[in-house]
Amino acid sequence: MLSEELIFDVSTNQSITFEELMVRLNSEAFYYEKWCYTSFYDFLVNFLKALINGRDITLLDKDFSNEELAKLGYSNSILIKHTLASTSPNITDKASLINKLTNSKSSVTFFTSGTTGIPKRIIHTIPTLTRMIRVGNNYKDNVWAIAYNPTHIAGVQVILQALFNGNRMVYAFETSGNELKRSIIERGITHISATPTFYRLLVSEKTSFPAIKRITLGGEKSDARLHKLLSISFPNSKINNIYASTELGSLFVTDCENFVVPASLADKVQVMEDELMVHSSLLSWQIEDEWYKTGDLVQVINTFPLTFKFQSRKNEMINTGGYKVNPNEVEEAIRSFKEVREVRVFGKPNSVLGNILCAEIVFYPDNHLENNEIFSRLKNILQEFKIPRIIKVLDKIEVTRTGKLSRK
Amino acid sequence: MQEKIQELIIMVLQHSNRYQPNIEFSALSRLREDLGLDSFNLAELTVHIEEEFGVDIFEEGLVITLGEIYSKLSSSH
Repeated sequence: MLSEELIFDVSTNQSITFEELMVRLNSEAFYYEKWCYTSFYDFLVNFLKALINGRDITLLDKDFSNEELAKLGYSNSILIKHTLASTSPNITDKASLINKLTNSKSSVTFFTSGTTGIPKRIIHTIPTLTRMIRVGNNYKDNVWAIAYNPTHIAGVQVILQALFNGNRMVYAFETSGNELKRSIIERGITHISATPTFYRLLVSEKTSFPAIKRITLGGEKSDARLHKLLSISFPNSKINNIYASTELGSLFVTDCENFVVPASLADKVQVMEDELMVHSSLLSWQIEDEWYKTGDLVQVINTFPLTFKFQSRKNEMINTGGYKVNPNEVEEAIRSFKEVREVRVFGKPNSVLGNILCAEIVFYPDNHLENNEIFSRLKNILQEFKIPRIIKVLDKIEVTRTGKLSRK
Repeated sequence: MQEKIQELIIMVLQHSNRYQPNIEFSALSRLREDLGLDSFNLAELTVHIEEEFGVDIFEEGLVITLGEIYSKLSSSH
């Protein structure tokens, strides 16, 4: 029966009830502290076993290669298996699971994927992971699409939001847009949380999902055109834009591009030299400085209450011939062409300029623009040094494990 | 090979609206002063030449004339 289903995995068609989950949580007296998991269900069972038993866990992507694991300091033998207490955690219903999760003293270690560079280790606790989670009667009938990587903080937050309200989860991270479109209808999905890149590959002016009640975007810059497309494709949905990072968890939420810092955080957030700074008391670990540099470049819209718009990651800026280019700005310009479905702008090492600006473009079906047309349109809206010199047309664009555009 | 290089130069100039139909190519043509390529055009040209011939013409430093590109490509083949 669909009503009893707790988890549905779109990629495998596997359907799991809460009772099946409960049996595994109560009977399996072991968990893996570090593990490149095999399926979403097994990942979830292992994650919950750690949490309800108060044990620490490190979340690793399922497709990490041995080389990547070595960079994180792990040898190939990553199956670190621990025996749990022989007494069952005695999960009898959803309330007892939520109670155990709420009071868990576990630490959860993430690796920030980043769009460039080497992954960084970030440790969270249940209080920091659940800071933005809302529980109540209004939420009890929600059905969530898990469209983030479950080993990354955004994915874990969606999982916890769903679990704390006993909601069904539809795992759709590794699926194509078409499979998700079908699942939205067949599984009754009402809530989606994903990156702007994910939505750009899902929606168009011709798609409409009236059953969706709320969509949430985070992790990347969104823009006015995407917001417009989303309001067409999700006509009955509220749209939330979240400011979050692996280091901080979720901090701010807005229904547009501008984030207003709430009064409760007014003395804990500031902008210095265009960079967003957050007071160290908001971090789940100790740092030497009083203020933590987020590495996010923002535009201040209003000073009181502090209101800002995300511009780019500091390390995303591409240096080309001595000019610093924000790839998000260029992508936004190219995305403003109605023929363009998705675009990725990145720097490629070049012997003349240091880096040459490149763009990969995916057009909507039956749409196309010649390179010369793209160049000449861009000349009207961008300074010349911001115009990508190498343009390739593709069927699909590469994204990072978090579902963001890759800057490599 | 020389024709292909000239084609690529014309394409790069067209991309940035710098193409003049009366352009004349000779081995002595200077890429910047005579053919009108700026540093962004040169960067683009190196990418296209590398894709076509597998040689980064600027790898070992400055290239002034069209003839220097020809000789770099012929010496590498």
